[in-house]
Amino acid sequence: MTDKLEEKRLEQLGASTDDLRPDDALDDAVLLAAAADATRLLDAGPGLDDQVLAAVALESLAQRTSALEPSGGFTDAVMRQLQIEAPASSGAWPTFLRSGRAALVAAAAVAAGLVSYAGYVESMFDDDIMANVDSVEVGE
Amino acid sequence: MTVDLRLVAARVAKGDVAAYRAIVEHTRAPLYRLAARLTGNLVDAEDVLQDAYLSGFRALSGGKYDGNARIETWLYRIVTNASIDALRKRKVRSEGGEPTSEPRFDGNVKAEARVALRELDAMLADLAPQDRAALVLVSVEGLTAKEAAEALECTEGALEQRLVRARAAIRKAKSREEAAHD
Repeated sequence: MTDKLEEKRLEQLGASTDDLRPDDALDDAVLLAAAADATRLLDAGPGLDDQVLAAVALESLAQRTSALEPSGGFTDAVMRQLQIEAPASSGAWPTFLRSGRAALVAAAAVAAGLVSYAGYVESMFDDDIMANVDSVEVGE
Repeated sequence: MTVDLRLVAARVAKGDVAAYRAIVEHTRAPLYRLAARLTGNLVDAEDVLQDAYLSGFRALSGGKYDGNARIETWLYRIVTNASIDALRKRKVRSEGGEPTSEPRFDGNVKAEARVALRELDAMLADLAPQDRAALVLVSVEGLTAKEAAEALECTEGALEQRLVRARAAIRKAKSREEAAHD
């Protein structure tokens, strides 16, 4: 009989507590507590402090060197150097002639032109000489 | 006003040498910082940056820039590689007992930055050039692992290995220092 009464009482208590809902903050509190518990069990491991300190030191050094900047003279020095190099590397020749194959073809064409021009000049010279020789012979 | 340096680069490629000034003016500050942080030395930073700009100019004039990457990123990679080379050369120089020269263009460098640079150089002195570069790009320059791997032309896995080695070397140096004090 007593058991039945107690069961009924428990049922009533169950029914009356059915609407109980946790406060929203409880979720966060439980999660935070779980996270704290979990990280308490973590072994920091040797050297972790050093690693964190080194990272902090590097970050600070990054900040302290963030204002580094060369003087205006630097750009001028670079451009002067470029002007010295430029005729050899660009500007003096059209862009397409700066590629290896095109440059070779162009050089070959120039060389062939020079050879044929030299041949032409030589034959003109020979003709002149022969004409002069003829006139000398006629004179004699 | 933002300038698309790719357009400027196209002019340089067509032989407009003077246009290169715009590229130098727009990129020199961050690249100087990068070179200074990587080499930890203003003299080397100046030399590295000058050489990097000359290499960049030659590459542009020779049609070796494909226009895919931003000019800034492309030059960043050139400066990083040039700095690693400078670190290697400096190591050889110091082993040969050669003295270092004074900086030529340091008008804008404040004492605070100079001290910080010396601290940085001392902190990273024991690191191999490639490991040092990895750490500087990620922890000082603030690049992501992907960006740093691209700048160093290696995989992200290789970068991670370099970072682990660099941090271990710093830890070891610190322990040595502490042991010497005790």
